[in-house]
Amino acid sequence: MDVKQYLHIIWAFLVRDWQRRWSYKLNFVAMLMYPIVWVSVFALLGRTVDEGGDMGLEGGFATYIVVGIITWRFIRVGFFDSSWSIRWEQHIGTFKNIYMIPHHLLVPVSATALSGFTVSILNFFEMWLVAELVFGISLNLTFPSFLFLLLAWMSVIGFGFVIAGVAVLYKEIQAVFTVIFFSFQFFCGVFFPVSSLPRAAQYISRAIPITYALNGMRTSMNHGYIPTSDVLVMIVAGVIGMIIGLITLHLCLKKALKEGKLERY
Amino acid sequence: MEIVVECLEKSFGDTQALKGISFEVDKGEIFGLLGPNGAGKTTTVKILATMLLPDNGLTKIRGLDVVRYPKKVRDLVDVITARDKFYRRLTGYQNIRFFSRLYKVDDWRSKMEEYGDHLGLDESDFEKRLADYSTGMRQKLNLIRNMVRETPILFLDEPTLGLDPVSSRKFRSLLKDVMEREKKTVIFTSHNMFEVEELCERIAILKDGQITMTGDPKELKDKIFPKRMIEFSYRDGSDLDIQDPYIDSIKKTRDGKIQVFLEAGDRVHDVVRKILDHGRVSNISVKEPTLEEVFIKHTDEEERSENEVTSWM
Repeated sequence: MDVKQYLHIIWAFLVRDWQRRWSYKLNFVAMLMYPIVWVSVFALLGRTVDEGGDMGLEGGFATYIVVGIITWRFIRVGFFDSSWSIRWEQHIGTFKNIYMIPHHLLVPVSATALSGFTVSILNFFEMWLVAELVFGISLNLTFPSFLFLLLAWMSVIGFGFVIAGVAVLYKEIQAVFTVIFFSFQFFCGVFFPVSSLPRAAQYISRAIPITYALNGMRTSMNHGYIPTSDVLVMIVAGVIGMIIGLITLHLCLKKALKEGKLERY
Repeated sequence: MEIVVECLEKSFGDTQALKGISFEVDKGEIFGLLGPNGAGKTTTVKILATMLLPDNGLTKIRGLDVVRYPKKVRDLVDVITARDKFYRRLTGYQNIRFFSRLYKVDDWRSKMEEYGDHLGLDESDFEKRLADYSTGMRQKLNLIRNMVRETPILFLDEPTLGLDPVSSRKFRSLLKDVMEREKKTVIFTSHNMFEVEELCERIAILKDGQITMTGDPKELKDKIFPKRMIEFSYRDGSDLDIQDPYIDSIKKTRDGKIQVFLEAGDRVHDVVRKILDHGRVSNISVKEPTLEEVFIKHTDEEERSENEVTSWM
């Protein structure tokens, strides 16, 4: 399959998804408003906490928590879009027509992930602008920090493929993964520093790549550079995640093809 | 041969869905797979459409092994079922444009309008969201999606399921028209004998994962019902007095109707001619068995022979 054809398919998914989003006008507005409300709540919370006293966090708690939720949301949308892709099409009954394209299923799955990525980008800039302009929280976003954010997104896509594959076989598994992913908020330092967690929980934190993504983003915004160790973790996690994701997706699809679970029309 | 299926087997756990079926479909042929629910029709179609891996057997489409070259096969085939869905919030145009982009079709709009014209959908219909489409309109759009894609081989897996009788009849007539125009190779599955008889040139009867009989509708009828009955009455109430070596028996009913029983075949017309020459006839009819009667008798016979074997054992 040539690159031109792949881009053509990605474009098809992008247009479809944005047309679908636009067709629900109120939902579309909610999609735009939700990150603004989200960032506003946490910016205000951060400010309130900062007024109460210094917590010893670099840049203050408001900056800490806003960077945390912006990065978290960016990663989360990409992750869920790649993991939901097949399951969603199966659920609404359109999967068969997607599957019948003469390409590997990875093509539509990755196209859906990239389509979700555009929402991540939009939400990210909304939140960033509101934090900077409305709440005066300086995030010092630089091009390298934005590239690092992309790297963080890419590092979880492979794990999204794992869920996409497993969900084809075990329909309810999505709920389990949703709980696990959301528990990462607790471990990865989205709302509070990892150092404030119990010692045992900190080991779990260190095993989750998102912890390094958040640390890298905060260092980048506070000091203008990204720790090499965080970049390396992101790259290694991305490569390992992608390998595991592709293998899992391949095996699960093969099993689904054998058991007749791929397309239950 | 466009489609070759040899000794195809598939099991789901302990259930053997296909027990070594074999058939071939010629280019441009409309082949029917007829059978009750659970006979293995959908399983066969899914294997041919690369949506399911077989346990054993060979399946080839235009010489390509379906298991080894699934992507190439998907470039040649398409499936239409009654359960196919579109994106409800998108319009007909938006849906077809999306799928056309996936299938590398450039001039989708002109094709869509051309086929729409043929199927009775116009621009105003295409501008509606799918949520506002009736089941019949959705199936027409599904057919358009396939026609725009222009695959030479089409699998129609119970495409009229859920349609009311009028829509079902319309859809069948459209299908027939389209199939004649496009010269596609088609496998049509259904448990509706009437539509299989109307659309298919050749039929395989599938029961419990096995093909129990294959042939064109006439062959199947002649095989299961080798006798035909000509029923008529003479206006003057007279009896039939003709000699024909092919006539098995003649009966007269209480209401004065004469029933002539004879072997199915060309002789039926000769005998009808003789009857007409013999006197003034009213209400003459040759009782042809329907495919449904063939199917029911055939499956009954199968079950009976199975029971006999069981009791003998």
